[in-house]
Amino acid sequence: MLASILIVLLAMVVGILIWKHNGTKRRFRERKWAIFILLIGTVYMVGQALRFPLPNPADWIMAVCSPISNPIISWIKEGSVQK
Amino acid sequence: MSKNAGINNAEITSGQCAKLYILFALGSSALILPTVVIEIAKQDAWLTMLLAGPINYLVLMIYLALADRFPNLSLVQYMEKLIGKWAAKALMLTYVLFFLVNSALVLRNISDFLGLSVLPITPTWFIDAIFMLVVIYGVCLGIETMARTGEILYFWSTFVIFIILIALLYQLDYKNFEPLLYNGILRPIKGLYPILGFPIGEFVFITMIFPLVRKTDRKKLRKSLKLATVMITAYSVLLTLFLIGVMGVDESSRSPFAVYDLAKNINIEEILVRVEILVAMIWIGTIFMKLVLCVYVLSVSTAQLLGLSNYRPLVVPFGFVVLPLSLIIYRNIAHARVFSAGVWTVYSVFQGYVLPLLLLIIAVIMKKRDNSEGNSFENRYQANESIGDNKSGDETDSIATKEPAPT
Amino acid sequence: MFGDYLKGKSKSDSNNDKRSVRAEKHEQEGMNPFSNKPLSASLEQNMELLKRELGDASDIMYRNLELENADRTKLLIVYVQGMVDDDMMNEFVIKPLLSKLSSDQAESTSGKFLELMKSSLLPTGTVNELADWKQFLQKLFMGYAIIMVEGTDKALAAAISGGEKRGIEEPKTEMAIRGPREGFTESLRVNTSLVRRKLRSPKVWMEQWTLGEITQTPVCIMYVKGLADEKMLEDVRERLNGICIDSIMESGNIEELISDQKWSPFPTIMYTERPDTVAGNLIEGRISLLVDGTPFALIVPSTLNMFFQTAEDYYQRFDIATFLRMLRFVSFVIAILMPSVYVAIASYHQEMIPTRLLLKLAAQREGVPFPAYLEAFIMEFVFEILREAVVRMPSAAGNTISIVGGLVIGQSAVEAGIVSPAVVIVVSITAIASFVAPVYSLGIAARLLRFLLLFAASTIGFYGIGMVMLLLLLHLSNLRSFGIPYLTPFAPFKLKDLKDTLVRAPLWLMRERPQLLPSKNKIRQQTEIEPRKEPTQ
Repeated sequence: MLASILIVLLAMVVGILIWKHNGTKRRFRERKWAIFILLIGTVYMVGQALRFPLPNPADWIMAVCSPISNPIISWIKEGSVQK
Repeated sequence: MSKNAGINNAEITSGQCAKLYILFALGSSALILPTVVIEIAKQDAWLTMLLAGPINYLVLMIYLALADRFPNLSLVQYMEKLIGKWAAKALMLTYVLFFLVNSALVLRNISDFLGLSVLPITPTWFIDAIFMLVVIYGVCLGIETMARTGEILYFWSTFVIFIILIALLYQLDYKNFEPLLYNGILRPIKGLYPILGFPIGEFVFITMIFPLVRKTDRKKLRKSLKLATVMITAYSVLLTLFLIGVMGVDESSRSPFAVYDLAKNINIEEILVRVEILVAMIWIGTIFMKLVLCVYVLSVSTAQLLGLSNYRPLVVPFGFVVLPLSLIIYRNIAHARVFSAGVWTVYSVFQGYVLPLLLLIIAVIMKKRDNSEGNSFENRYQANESIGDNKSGDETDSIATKEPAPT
Repeated sequence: MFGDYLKGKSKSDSNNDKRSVRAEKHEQEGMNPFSNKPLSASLEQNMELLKRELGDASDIMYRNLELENADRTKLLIVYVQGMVDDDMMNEFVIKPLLSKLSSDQAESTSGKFLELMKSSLLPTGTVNELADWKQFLQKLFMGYAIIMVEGTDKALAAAISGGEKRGIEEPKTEMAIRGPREGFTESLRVNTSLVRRKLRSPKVWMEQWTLGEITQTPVCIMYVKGLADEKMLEDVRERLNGICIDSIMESGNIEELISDQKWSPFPTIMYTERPDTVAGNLIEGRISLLVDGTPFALIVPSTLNMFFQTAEDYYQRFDIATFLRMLRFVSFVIAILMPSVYVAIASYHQEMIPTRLLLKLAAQREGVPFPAYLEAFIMEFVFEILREAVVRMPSAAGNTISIVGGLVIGQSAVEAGIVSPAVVIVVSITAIASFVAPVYSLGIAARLLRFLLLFAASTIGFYGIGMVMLLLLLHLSNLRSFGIPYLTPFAPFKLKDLKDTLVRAPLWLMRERPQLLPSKNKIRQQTEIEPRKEPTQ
């Protein structure tokens, strides 16, 4: 719990810094996207700290790719006898 | 390079580009890859590594052919010119995801390694956070700085690898290689499977670096990248040879960080022991470069996808994403094995070979070439590094005297 | 002798707009009460104005003369006591004027006496004609004697500056066993002449600048025409132009104001006290800045490896020079890393040391009340205190301090069991190694970084050291000195330049100037001179 509060505080500080820094350089679109990505990151971090089941890109990749990879793996495994 | 060539992009030399390429390869293959390959190909794993060289070379040819057609654009940029805006955006998103996951995986490798070998009691997130901090600093400094850092790390790691190999020379046991090809040529070929994805498919990052190579160096680039491929193959073959020769197949396919364990065998007169810390240091250096390049390419491709003017605002937020992602990406060891040895290869091959090859075919059919400049975000310095090859001086070399002082 | 300091300034005036605007603003604020007002023709008025505006300063002397010519010309000589040479004043200014004038000189000149004086009466090297108060004051405070004539609104400045100066001595901070023993002094003209004496070529050009609104410090850009890059020279001029500060006391002020990276412990501009170092660097195509009032000249651009080199490397044989350079580099690494590595091993990675050594160390550490990192930190800090105390003390007291510090504190701390002997050894080796750095400013960087690394090592051991070293590497790669990357020729890698880095190749192999500097004239030796072989029978 404490960890998540600290993470949020840190993210807020970083967010404010990004917002101000890019404001002075007139990079408005950039800072919007930066804050958006920062938000995703913060949600992930807090979720991780609270042991929430988070969406894992590895699972998506696995879902898409395992139909191709599984046969290959089993082909590699077959005949794998010791000398 | 003239000083007034429009936007002054930061430039790296062809040698620096090749060294980044080698470091990226060493970052993974030096420590983790041999274990996986030896597990499949047993004592013929070094043949596998040798076979990986030509494949690496072919993939590189795809990238270079694309770079010839679009010399000043990155992969993400010429995609849009080839297949239209929205289809390109969708594909770009897959690349962003690819580099994001890749960064998380690399960071995960680091914390796994350090947690296991050097810092057993320090919490993982702390190791990751410190590492990420340095990486963010490096990425924000830009490609020129990264390339120069890479050069130093390259010399350092080459030096240390050779020291280690020489120190282990007398421990090589040739019996470990017998019988050669006990199961036919099929086994080493099967061993290629993880290599296809693990370093080779990831080499697609280099297409994002190509437009930054100094224009006068473009001719040399092809040559130095070919040389780099040869060197990568040589490194991995040598390391695998020594692993099998010194530690034997069983031991080296069991240890998760085989080269680190290999260095533990060094023992010179009971004085020079525990030099594996050197291996840890060079490996941290090379994998640092790999992570820096991954995060750089991630930020740059995202910025190009979104049409931003600068990638630097995105670097810190991506740090916030990569860090928790690296903690959750593997659920457990079994999950890690299935993912890294099987699934990742397919995904990586798709991103690293299939898509670029398709793009190349489309480009050839449509006869597209484009010399236009894309925004590569590197205009911090006004062509300072190229100050050296300015040949268009105007002053004469005659002995001229200044106007005499009014005495 | 002070020459004409302003000759170069007029040349650079064209690109001087920003500065002159700012200088004008300064004047409006009352920094310079006279500004460009012309001189008055009346001696009385001029003297009155001077006395009022200069607060009747006690070191400004006014000498009234009346000549014995047909016009009975009245003269006023103004000078600053202590800045002019008294003998020269008597010999070359007052004596020729007061001595009996020859018949044609004594004729009535009808107000043209100033010209007469300029052409035939003053036997000094440099005589300038002054029209306004701004020039007047500049010359006055440079140590010129200024002669005004009644009835003429112009004045003459005669260069007879002198006063007490330090002679040429052996450089205190850069000793050499073999090589010239002369060092720069505080006088700019002496310094430029010292370099001239080494490079007797018409291609050695100098540009004169005056920096600092109040100090009016003369600064000289020195380079070899045709070897120094024009773009880089323009860059140097531009940066000097950007300086608008009240005082330039030492070349360190300029260094800080014009260096590329403001936030870095590493020096990106080298300084030296040796004329031969400056001369050698000029020949390689670098640019030197000499500042009046300090014996330290600046050299740009400087790369990291220049800080490991001394002039002597080129006078000794190449093999020993190479060895010494590597020794310096290793010492630098020791000076940075040794305490932190000790702390990392002692508190996190004991398994790294061989067992027997570990037992020894553990036996020593028995009963020591502090953890290793605190021990190391305390001893390092004490050492820094000692070092600072010895530097600032007169040498007699310095000896006492080093005895008290080194022997008494070191030994008794160990005997009392407060610190372990190992940490004393580590700190001592570090201290000695840190003195090996040939350029002091790099040693300072090492001192600061040592504490940073110590902190990192005491929190997370070797991992911390590794991370700080990576940060350092990134930082060094990012540094530039006048556009040249700081780590050249290692990164960007320049194979040909490696001959003069950590190794010093034999002179007969160094046939080209460094690649990193963009000069067009690369060849320094036309023919390949190899060592003479014994004639074969």
